[in-house]
Amino acid sequence: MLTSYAQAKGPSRLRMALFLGGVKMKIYKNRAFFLSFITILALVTIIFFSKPASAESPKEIRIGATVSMSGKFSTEIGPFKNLMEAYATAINTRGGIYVKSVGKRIPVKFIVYDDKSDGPTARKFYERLISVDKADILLGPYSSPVTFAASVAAEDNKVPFIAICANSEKVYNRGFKWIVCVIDAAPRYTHRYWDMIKAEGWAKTVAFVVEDTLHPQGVYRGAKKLADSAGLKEVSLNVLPADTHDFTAAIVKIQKESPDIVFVSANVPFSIAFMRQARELALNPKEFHVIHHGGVFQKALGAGAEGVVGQSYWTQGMNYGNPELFTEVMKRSGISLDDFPWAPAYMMAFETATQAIERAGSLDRKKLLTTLKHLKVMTIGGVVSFSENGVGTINTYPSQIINGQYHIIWPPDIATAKHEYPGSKN
Amino acid sequence: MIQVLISGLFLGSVYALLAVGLSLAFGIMGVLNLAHGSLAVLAAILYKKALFLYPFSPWTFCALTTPIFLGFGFLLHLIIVAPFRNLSLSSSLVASLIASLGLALILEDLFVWWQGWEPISTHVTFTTFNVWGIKIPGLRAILLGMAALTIGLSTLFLKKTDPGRSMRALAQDKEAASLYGIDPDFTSMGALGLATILAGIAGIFYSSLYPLGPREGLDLTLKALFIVVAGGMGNLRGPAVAGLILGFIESFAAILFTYTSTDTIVYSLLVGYLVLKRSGSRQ
Repeated sequence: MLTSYAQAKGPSRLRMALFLGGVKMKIYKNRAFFLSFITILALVTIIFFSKPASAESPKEIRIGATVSMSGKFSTEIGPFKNLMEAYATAINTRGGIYVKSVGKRIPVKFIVYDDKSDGPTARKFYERLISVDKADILLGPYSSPVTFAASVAAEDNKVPFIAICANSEKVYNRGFKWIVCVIDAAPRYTHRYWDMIKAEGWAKTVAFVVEDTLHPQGVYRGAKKLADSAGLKEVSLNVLPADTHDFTAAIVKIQKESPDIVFVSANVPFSIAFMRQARELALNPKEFHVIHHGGVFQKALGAGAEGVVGQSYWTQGMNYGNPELFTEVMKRSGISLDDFPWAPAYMMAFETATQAIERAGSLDRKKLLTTLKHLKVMTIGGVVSFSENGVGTINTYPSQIINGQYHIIWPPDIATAKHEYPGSKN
Repeated sequence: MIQVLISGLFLGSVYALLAVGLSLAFGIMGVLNLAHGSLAVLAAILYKKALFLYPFSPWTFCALTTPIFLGFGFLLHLIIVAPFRNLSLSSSLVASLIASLGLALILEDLFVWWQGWEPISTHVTFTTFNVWGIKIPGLRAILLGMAALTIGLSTLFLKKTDPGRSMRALAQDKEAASLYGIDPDFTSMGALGLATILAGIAGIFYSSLYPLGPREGLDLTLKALFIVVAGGMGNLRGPAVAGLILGFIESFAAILFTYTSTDTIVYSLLVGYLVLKRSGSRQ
């Protein structure tokens, strides 16, 4: 009869303990051997039946982005998801983007969220684009403040991030490695305009009206330096809050100085309100320069917008890159260039992303970034390349509303009309 | 300086129009309608949408929409006055305050959904007159006249017509007015209708002169409330004068100091005035 371990006493208890320990050890050894065998078998099976990672063919190229479909920037780029999808359709009907490492063309898919014109919301969605949607490359949101927040997600996760309409230097002076921007920094935003003014030589004085927000302030700081170097004297500076309603005091101050140019560095709603009152109070400089004088501005001002000079990325008649593709994309998206003058900048970002993927020949994020940093690509707005901190080369051209149409007026080699100013027709 | 003075007059006339409506509702019903400014924004949006159909002048559109805004006033009465009529005066004031605040917030969201974030601007081009070197924009001059006329007609209505007298009687003593056969519900409904019409006219005029954001309703109410407090609750002349003064102060603060300091100066002066007024009344 067997004695249980609990009933055993003295040396027999010790013997029994040694026996039971031995049995346990044997079981453990067998189990460890069995588990090791299964693991090795599984690994061998995986290795044997799977292809090397580099030869894996992705179903699609995932480009992630957010668009301000709601919130304060929705009037500027609200329907741009359509623009992205129209570009994807145009590229996919041509077979997609050629990726050398897999030896074939792969279709493009844009994954787009609404950032509500808000930085923290945008950052949250970029985190999602990276971790959940597994985006291969990211396009930036609209505006410098939203890009400032969103680009942190790309930097933290090491994903190439192409910023678009975000030219505040603050975005690029943080030492980030994974961000590039197709457009030039805000201070150089109007450099072609001041080149033209210097060449024409008729203007001697300028009054500035500046909306007290990030982008207009940045453009003003650059314009002030450029105007100085073009030999113009600043006779009046009016920095006003974005929600200013009554501009009479500023207009009266400017009238006293009779400047040759009134330069308005502001977003669209502010510019419309200022220009209306300037026209009402018969403020008559030789020229009004309003940095954002797009279709919304023109519709609101009607005849009051005639002759106003501003900045445009692209107008009909410019022949850089592939303007036919841009026209096709705009048509497919149902977006009007007059209402959404930032569309060309987005197109340039699409072209840049496409070229970067093709030239990298891979969707490897590090390879994509290296290619982007050394890229030199012709787009509809000219050649895009990037400086050390990621700032791009695309800049606006001075354009004037002449007989209700937008015309590039400088430099002469790409101008679609001659600049009209007092005495220019003599 | 004269140009700035004239600009202040134009701005002040719109403020006056807005404040008079708020004061009317408070004086007669003891209701502080925080959705007053949002109703002005609603009128501005309707005008903007109507301009796509036909180029109405602001005054034509005001005349056409008066019955609509009277109707809105009646509807508003059902939301912020009628449910609380059996409460005590202080309880009904708090209840209507909360109900109208909720309504204002709902309306703001609806406005953004309906017309987007872009400012409402319903500018109609008009000639600018040059009088001895002073530029007087035609539209502003006409709107100034229209604002004065509207306030004048409202005062006449309250003083010279039976419904107006009923409203004033209700404002003085609700119970005594009831004993004389005045229906408090019907009369206060009419008073809120008149206040809403004034808010609508103010919104149409404001958006004709300056861009108005879809979320600016509560800002407008706050400004009107300050004017009413400064000018005296429950009368029309005081807020009208205070509105004009506010317009002058805002315009002069912008030229004498900076645009960014305008609100600080305006509200500092107002608080100072109220403190002095209060200490004066104690003595």
